[in-house]
Amino acid sequence: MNLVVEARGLSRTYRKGRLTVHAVSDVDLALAPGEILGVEGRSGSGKSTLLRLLMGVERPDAGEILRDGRPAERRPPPGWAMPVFQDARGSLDPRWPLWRTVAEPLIPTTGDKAARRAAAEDWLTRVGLAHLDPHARPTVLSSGQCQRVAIARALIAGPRVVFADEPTAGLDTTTAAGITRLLRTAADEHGTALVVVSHDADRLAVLADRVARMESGRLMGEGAGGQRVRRDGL
Amino acid sequence: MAEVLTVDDLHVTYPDGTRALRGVSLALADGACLALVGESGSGKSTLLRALLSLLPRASVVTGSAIVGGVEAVGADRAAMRRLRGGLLGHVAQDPHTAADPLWTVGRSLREAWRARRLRPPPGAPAERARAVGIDRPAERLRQHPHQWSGGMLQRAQIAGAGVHGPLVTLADEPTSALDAELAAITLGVLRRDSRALLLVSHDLRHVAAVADQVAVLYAGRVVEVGRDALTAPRHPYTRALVAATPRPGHGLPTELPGTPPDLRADIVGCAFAPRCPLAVNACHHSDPALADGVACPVVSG
Repeated sequence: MNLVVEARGLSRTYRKGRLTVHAVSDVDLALAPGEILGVEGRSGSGKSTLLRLLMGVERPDAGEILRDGRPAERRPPPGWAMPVFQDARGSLDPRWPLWRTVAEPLIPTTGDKAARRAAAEDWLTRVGLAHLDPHARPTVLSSGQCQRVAIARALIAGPRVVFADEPTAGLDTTTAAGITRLLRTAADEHGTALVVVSHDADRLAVLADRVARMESGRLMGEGAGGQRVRRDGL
Repeated sequence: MAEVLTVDDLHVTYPDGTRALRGVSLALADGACLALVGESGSGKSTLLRALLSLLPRASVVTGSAIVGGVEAVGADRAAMRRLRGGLLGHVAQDPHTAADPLWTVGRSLREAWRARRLRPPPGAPAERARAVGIDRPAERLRQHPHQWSGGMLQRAQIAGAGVHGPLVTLADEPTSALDAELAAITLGVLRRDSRALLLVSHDLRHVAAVADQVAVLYAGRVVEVGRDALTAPRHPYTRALVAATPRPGHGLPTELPGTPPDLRADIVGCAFAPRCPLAVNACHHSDPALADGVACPVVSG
């Protein structure tokens, strides 16, 4: 059993006054190393709640999550999962030089600052930013470059899974294409599993191995459920 | 068919020296849809702002832009009122800032009538809302913008823009906040609702479905224009835009490396030459003119 994430009967309900919202209802899913699961759905369909449950920043009301085959305790181990956000610029500290942002996830494991900086420079090269000064601040970068920095930060400590919430929203098509390729490379070359949430169905269709659709808290379609269906097996 | 919008050699320089439009000429026929596509900073939104007289006061605008016989360049108050109040309808990019957060959505929508000192006919706002796909419109229009999704607010905007049947509807990325299927529906509604439509979008898939003509802008210039600009692209930039668009069955999209030029600096030669895979030496020196719908001597031979 080498699934990275397995979820069974996952549910999360929000109550506000008399209003009850079943944000996530009875969701099953399984994710293997190097696999990209695309989750599409309208705003408010529960996509982001599902991501938070899978990341372990929020606990489900019902159901269970297995991480690397083990029942999830309160929180996954540090660095096990990394996020990539929609607002790439907002996700970077404007006061920090790029290398420091990229190397941040290495702090618990790599005490040597020079080693962290070298690793960060290596990752800036891998995400296509070799030409940038690692001491530059994010303010001089374009939005697409900011997202590349965020992806380098997400991958540098070798996470098992990356959760990306609308990673190309707000980017020019010409730039989004590069980010899309970079996410595929993370899965293919580093064996990282990815869950990519997007309302861009065409982009998920070309990027993901499987695409599931979120509707009123339920996950449906080819990518839903506990079995693994590879794109090349279809 | 008569032209309802004629743009001729339009130049716009912002107060900071950014030359956002560098000689744009376009025509929109009555009842047709012209789409403007291109990356951020290509001048798409600037063109719409020039038509609506919404450019910063100290901007330098030359050339001509005529809507239904009214010149928008250097328009006085009376001309501006005719343009904004009747000839042009406008759907803005960000529905959250377009709707007043303290008003109900219904009140914002009723402004479309009130702005002309009219009283909305009973049931008309709800009917407009229903036409753009808002369920239970009477109930929903009593809610405030924060209770609506961005996609729904955008549909409310479209409902308001079309109330008086403007000659030309200007829509700036009207579907960027919507999910794919809703975007297609909403764009269909917008197209049906508008007489002539000037549509700015970076979503080439939707554009190709509704536009009669597509103009591709790069660094403030039209580099390609035509009915088939997106289905049979000729200019290297248009080809790159199409290749960067994800299409199921076509594998991963291809990035266009580099960034558009700094529009505050003088541009010598073709603005796209530094990023162009087909550039020859001459491209860096001489500025290509639009000929037969494409501004590239390399591909037009």
